[in-house]
Amino acid sequence: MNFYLQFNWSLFCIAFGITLLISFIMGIQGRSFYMMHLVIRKFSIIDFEFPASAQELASVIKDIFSLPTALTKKTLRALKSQLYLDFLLMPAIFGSIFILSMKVSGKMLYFGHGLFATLAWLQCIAWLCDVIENVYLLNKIRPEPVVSSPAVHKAYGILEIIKWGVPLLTTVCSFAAIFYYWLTGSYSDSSLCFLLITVIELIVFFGLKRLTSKTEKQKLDDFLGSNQL
Amino acid sequence: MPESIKSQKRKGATLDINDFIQHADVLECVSELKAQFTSENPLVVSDVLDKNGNQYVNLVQKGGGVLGVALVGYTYILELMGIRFLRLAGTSAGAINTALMTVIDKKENAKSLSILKAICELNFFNLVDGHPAARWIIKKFITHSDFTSRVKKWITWIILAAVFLIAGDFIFLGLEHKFQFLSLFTKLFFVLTGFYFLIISLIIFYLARLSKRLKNSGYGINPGNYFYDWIKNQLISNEVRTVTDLNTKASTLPELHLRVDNPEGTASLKGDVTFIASELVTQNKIQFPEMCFLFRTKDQIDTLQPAGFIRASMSIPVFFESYMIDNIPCTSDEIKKAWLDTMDEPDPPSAARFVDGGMLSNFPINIFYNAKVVSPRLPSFGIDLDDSKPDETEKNATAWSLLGYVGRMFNTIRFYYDKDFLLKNKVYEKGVGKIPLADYNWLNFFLSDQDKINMFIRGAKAATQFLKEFNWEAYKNNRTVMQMALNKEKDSESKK
Repeated sequence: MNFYLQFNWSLFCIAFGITLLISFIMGIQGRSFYMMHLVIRKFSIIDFEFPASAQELASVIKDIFSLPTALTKKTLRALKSQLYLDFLLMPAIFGSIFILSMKVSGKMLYFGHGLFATLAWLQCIAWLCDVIENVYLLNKIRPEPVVSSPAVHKAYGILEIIKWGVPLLTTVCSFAAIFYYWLTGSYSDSSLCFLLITVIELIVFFGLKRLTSKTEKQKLDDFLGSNQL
Repeated sequence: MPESIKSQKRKGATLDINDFIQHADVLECVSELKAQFTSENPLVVSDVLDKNGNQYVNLVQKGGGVLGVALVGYTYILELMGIRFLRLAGTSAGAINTALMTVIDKKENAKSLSILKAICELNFFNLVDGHPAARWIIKKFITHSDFTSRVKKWITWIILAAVFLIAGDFIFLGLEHKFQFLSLFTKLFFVLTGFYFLIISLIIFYLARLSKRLKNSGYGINPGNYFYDWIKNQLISNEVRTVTDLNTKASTLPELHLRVDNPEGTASLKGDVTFIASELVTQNKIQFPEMCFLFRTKDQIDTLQPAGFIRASMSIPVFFESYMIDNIPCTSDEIKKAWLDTMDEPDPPSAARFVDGGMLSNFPINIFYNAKVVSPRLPSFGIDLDDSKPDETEKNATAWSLLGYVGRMFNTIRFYYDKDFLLKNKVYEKGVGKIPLADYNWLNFFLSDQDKINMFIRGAKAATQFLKEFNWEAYKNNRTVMQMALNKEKDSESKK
């Protein structure tokens, strides 16, 4: 396999579109993320990804099981399905970043050429970290979660840093480079329509989010349903 | 010293109780007192005695964060001089010491050494059990006096870096039209700028997460779970598991007799314990465990955890999460009546939220005042942690910073409740010993072992000074005169 790959922008648009679609669905699932910590409180998947301590991760899981049974089931269903859906998101999101970085690499010369291609391939490591993280969390979610040892928790923290750090760094550096080419006019006319497609995808994504947005109170009422405490 | 306590050192602990009690200054305090109070000139502080000759007093201990270590030094000396405690009360750190003095051993035995042992085994920094970032910030702010100026410097550097990178982008972008070879630098600057904004965004995101976390935790940086578990274990290891156990332990007295005749006798003497907490939902001062009936019906009282009362009393706002008591049976007639009778509150809450009792009464000496007693049988002692700094700017009303101004307003409200009582009942001041601790920060949970020893010594010295000066007969007379004057005033008012 070649280290430097050529892609068409259309592939990026497809991968990016799928990323936005799955993110939208995950956002809706996230509305059912509640736990019982003295009172019913919201949590986000970030609480699972960056817990302050191994104990805290276990506490959040325990707090989910502290909800009334019907609500625990609701939250668990949403949480687990989000983690499973994440397996579908991974190829789309890491794929789109891979393509973006490879496209930038293709325009670069010398050092930049190699750097961006390397950043693109590093997405495979981030993807692997994401897979391990999801498997770890899916195993962890149980009524009496085991508190991980400090070594395991530290490894989990490093995994998260790689999972988030690599794609973020690649995306930002790639956008910075693209921004440079935009300002210097070093782009082909044909790429403009793909830029337009990407913008439209973003507008549709944010438009849908806005249309389906709810207040915190509405979200809680929806979550509680007939289980009003 | 009990053999079981002698020279016990926790694994990894750097302190031993001998480091405190065998310190030259503490030994000097003891020898001074022994020299002054001999069999010919005994120490007399109360008329209530047990069969071993121990004298009984009521004791109130002031709150003050980590300064509470000094309280142990004070009580150590009192106990060493044969003073025991009938009724105990405290707020915050004072509540912790009060709780331990209540539950450890029997009333007639000294407890300070056991408390000291618990302190030796406790790593204070573990009490700061919040997010690692919050712990780091708290530590830096408390242990580095120049941390604020250091933060200002960091912010300046961050702004300068942004200016430098953006300027570089513009300059190289402009220059590369004339000098093609500079395009490499332009690209480099663009990538670095992107990287810079990524870092800044991550920092902002992280801070936003921390602030959201703070909001979700009810605006408390530290959950206080470590403390709760610690104090709960201390209670359980002393056979106190329920509110009933706590009340039983506090009220179990040895056989008492009076040194001199008093119309009140000894029958009405009772032992109890009080922890002060501030309740925010109904905005009241709560005295635990006495007011437990506000939160549970009689048959359910033991569903409350006594460790929670101390946790509630020490919930320094923002520093610790509030303590909550939920599932209050607010629709029950018993609870409704309790709230109406006690707090004039017709609509009891379903959940109560507590913060540090020091917000309302950091030195609750007033709870020992009994208007029915004319001639006291025993005094009310108080231990005041005096951390007020002799700073000239404090007196200069125009020199305060905004923070200083807000602080002064807050403290005026906070301290006046207790101050007002002492102003109106000056005799109680004669039972109060002050421990000077102006050079210590009450929130410094990163105390060195030497700091702990020094605070203990300050407590011991203050107690020594207090005992040397305390005159029970004068106290008793003043208290009697005060009460007679009050009763006279009351009588003439009722006649009118």
